Amino acid sequence: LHETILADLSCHPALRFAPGHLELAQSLSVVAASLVLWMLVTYAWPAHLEEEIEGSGKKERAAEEDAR
Amino acid sequence: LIPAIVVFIYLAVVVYIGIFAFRKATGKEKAEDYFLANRSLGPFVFLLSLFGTNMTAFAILGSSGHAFTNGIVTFGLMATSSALVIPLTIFLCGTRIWALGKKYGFMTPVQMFRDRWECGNIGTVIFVVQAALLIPYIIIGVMGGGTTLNVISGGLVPFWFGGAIVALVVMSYVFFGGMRGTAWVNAFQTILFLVFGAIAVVVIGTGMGGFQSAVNGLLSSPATAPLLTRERISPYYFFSYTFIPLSAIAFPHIAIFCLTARKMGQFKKTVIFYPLCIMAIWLPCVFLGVMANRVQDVPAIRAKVEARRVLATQGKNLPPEQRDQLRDQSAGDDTLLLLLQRFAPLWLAGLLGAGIMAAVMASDSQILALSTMFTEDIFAFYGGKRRFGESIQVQTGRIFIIIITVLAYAVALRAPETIFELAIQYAFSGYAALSPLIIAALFWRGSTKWGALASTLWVAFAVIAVAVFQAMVPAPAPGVSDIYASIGGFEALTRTPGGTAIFGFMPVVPMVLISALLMFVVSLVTRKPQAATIEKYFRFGTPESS
Repeated sequence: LHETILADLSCHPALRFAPGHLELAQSLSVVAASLVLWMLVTYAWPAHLEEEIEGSGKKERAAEEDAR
Repeated sequence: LIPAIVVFIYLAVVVYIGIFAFRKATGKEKAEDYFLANRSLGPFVFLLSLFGTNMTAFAILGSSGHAFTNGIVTFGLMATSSALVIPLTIFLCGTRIWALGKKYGFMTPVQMFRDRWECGNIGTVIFVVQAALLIPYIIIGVMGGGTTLNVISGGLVPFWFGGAIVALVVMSYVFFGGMRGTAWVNAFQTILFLVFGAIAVVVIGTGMGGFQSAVNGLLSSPATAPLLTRERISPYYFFSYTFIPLSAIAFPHIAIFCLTARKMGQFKKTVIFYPLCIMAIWLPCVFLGVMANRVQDVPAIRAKVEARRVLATQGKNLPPEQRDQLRDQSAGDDTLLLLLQRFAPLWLAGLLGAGIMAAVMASDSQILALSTMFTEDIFAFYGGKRRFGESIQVQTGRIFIIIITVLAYAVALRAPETIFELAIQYAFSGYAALSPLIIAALFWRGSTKWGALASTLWVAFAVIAVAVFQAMVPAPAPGVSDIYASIGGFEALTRTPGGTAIFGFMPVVPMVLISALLMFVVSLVTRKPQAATIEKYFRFGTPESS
């Protein structure tokens, strides 16, 4: 969607004089994507997958130690 | 000759890294150690090499070439959607692929599909389609290496010799180092390109008298001013491009790479920093590509601009063969190299050329992925591992690497590059259309092997159909579209100067949508895998899983 909006914006006569600014806008959208991903990683991280794997790893190590 | 010597030194360093990785490998030859670096890559190498694996010659040379022809719009088309979609798919699918691989020992996507959907030969069909879409990349990588060495050395290193050197170097470090060597080389290459990409912008910008004056110069000419706007690209085309990054997670080398992380937490930094890495690489490439239109004192660039002008003004009256010839002449894939030759001092041109060579050589992970797929999905699946043991499986993988590299080199010497460019153009669409397989396997309990087969066969059919259509129907002149089918007054199938349009969209849109639809509909009416199998995949983190 943002591509379409930017495409429409760039056709606007007022913005045709500012290609550098549009490039900046695109770059800012990349920075915004990075921020969105940071929020996802911070607040929606699938920790249950991590715990499952690391938990089973710990169990395996414990079982190995018991066997010894 | 100095730039070529610098590039040769760089190639020697790369081979050394591969051999060093070989010496660091754990004593006995284990498939997991060779093909997945023992699932032990650290966060820094994981981020840089995953990114480097995805940054091929097409991203570097192709983006500046596209920007040279189409303008600043290239960044919006290719980089901004990739900056969000690729890390998002790594976040959603990559983490799950990693966890399932760690838990059940998968080393390839097909292994996971076979287990998830309880299938054997359907997995082989998926392997064949994945491999067929991957091979052109390897061939074009050899071609790109030959061309780059030829241009950097000013013609002193012939194409056949440059291609042979690149093929030998890539084969050596993949052969010895396996995934560990490939990942280290990719990380090294990514750092090299990030550093020298920034230097290239400054050096070339200064050489051109500053970017502001270059931008003003482009704006002052009616022929070049549109290169600084996005007005020539339709919203349909923009929308289509947002589907392309879906291909990333469906590429076997990317999915396999997700299995190499030591801990899942390593995905965090990769997901967050991936967009910034994309910006750091693409911004200079696109900007330099556009600015190259101002460099009229380089005869090769002047000839390209002239060919483009003739195509735009007289294209309609020219025969298709002549139009194709002019298109080839105006292609800007070597623009970056030409700018380096013009503006960078010799030693710096060599270093920057090494950076470009780094991107061209990204076919290493594809060669390794193909070898991993062959040994796991074919050799091991059909009893080879059971009969001959794991050590022979790794040796088979190494022999496969030699065979595929030699074949790629032999084909690269004989076949015209355009055939493979076309194949790669639609390989991206093909892999994007294979993404419903990964998504359905990981997130939809109701998906079945028949749904997966229907999607895969559709992808194979669609890629071949579009490639044949484009090969048989000549591209029209710029600004013209030839309509071949209409439905209800809408242009259903159109041959455009840049490719094919279906209802105004690029083929990737219907390919992905129909693939997803087939997966959904066919899965609804066919038998599901056993409940126990489904539970294996959807019980993570629940009390019964432990």
